[in-house]
Amino acid sequence: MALDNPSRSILVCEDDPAMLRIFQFLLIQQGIRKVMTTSRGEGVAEMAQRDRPDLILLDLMLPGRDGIDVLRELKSAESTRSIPVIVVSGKESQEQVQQAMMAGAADYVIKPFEPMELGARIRGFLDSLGA
Amino acid sequence: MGEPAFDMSEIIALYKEDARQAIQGMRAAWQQWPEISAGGQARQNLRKLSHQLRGSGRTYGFHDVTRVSKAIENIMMKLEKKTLDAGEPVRLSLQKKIDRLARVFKD
Repeated sequence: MALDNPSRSILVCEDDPAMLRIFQFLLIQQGIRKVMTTSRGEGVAEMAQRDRPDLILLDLMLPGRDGIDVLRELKSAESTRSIPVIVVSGKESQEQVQQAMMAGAADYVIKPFEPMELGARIRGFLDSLGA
Repeated sequence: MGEPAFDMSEIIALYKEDARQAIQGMRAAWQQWPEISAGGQARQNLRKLSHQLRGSGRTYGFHDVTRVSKAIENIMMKLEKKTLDAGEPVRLSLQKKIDRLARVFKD
């Protein structure tokens, strides 16, 4: 089935160029035309407030600011708290996963991941947003 | 009908270049052994690059890259926690692992 989500926008927060490339590939597969990216932790909340993405993919180990703090800030602001955040991190301990979920992550994907699986999860979130 | 498999061949070629550069960075960090031993910037660089390769390797289909990078990252974490001495055996072990990663992308 051809996927087309031209009106959807996604903010990707990732500092590894190889991972950024695969996210962009997966988002193109989902028909997402508008992909905003940042490789630093500072400024994520401001970008989200300004651009109002439909979904955020957030790495926890960004230079400049701890990802959990970024997540808490997103979830504490009225204008961004409803934006679902999928944490995609190499931090694989149960404690890290719990911390992120308690901070408001909608989902947690551990790197390395199967691209098709993450693609399906992204699609699930986009479908849940409705038309 | 099932979903078509992703054709990632184009981005895999780009990934190989990224990985080669990351491995060069790992080797450059390793060559500054006194900094690794003392917990300086070279140690941070080697840990970060191994962490990134661990995450991206299997995602791109390079399972061995994730496995070897994870072993390097674990060593760096042990050095950080001071549960491992930065002696000659560790230096040589890291060298072998970096060489092994380089061989994966040699062509």
